[in-house]
Amino acid sequence: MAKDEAHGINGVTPGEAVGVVAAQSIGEPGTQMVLKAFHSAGISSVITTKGLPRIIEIVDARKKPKFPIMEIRLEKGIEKNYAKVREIWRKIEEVKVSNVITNFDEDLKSGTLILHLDKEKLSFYEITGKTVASRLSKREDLSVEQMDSETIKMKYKGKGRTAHMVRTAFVNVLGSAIVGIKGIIKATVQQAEDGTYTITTSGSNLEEVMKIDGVDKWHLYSNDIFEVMRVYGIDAARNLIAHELDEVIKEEGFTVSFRHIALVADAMTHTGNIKSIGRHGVAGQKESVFARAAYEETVKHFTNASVFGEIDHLKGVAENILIGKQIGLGTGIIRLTVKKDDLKKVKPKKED
Amino acid sequence: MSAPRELIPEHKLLSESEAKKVSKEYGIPLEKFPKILESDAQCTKLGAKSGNLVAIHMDDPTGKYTTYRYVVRG
Repeated sequence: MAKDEAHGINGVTPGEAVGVVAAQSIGEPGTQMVLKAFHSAGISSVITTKGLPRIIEIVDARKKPKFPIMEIRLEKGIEKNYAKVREIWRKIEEVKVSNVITNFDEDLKSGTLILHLDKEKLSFYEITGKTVASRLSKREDLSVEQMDSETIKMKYKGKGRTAHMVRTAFVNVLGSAIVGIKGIIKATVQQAEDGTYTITTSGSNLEEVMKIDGVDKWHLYSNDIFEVMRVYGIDAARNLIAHELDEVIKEEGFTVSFRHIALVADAMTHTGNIKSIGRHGVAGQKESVFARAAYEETVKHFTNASVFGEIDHLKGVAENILIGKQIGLGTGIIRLTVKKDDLKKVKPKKED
Repeated sequence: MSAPRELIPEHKLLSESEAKKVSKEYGIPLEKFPKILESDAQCTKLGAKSGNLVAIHMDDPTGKYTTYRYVVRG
């Protein structure tokens, strides 16, 4: 197909209001999603936000999603080797002290804490009491002593031994991590139909996962848009925004052309940073004063503009509606120009 | 949930003459292209400096196409 021919099929006519069409195309199924219930029944190992709340989360450009998830792909050689995959999995899931104990005895008066480790849980995470003890002995405010393989005794040796301080230190001990990556609450190994294993996680931390050997560094997936932008760059973030929106809308059972969704993603990322749609982002950072004032916070924009002497070139749609001029859309975008020399050739018609 | 295999599109740093050609083809100056920050992960990988133009080979459900981003300080 010739280039011009292909453009004729895929292209849009100049002056087409693509933004409005996109807004309506996404907005219409959006209204129907509100009416539906938010919860979804079913068994899923990983919890994520779905439906309209997720769309709002993406479009508002929240710094951290409510339920971040990751999909970790592995390098070609080991992606079908279960033992190797498990080895990697063990490095990923964050195991806290409270995850591997049955119970604990604390004496706030003398400042001692005795941990009773759970044998089954220890063997499940493939760690020993020794690792736990050596990890805890790095703390400066505690002296750690391993009684036997399942009991660890600790004594508080910090300054000023009040019951409150001792208790705070102990709570801190229970919540401290032994192995794994910070922020990853749960990791599960999943097998695809072709036999390859992937690791799905609740919680996301691309920077740390990339450091692990055997992980396919450049093909990880996370639903945390800002993290992806930081690690993979702005275009990966654009693709992620578009893919996540597309996926959510499809899951709800609606069909929206990918072009509309991609336009939203492009609008959010065209400055090189992720902007939210709305008053703090795309709509609130428009060049024209009138366009901003027509949207939200009218007085704020007008006072700021008058104080700083802003100039409005009246090129957008909102400004021109405001002053009653023809808008630059559709046929209105066409401007006529005449060459000066051509005018001389025109001879006025003689009236009869 | 089906995660796409490729999240990161292929980036390519354009030379000055190539950038001029692209700018002429689209009929807009370089500053009017979408922006990418100098500190962006892909820019540091390519060694792109502000004032360069980066070609990005996208592959999404609409098909394969090339977009461009102008590198700015930041």
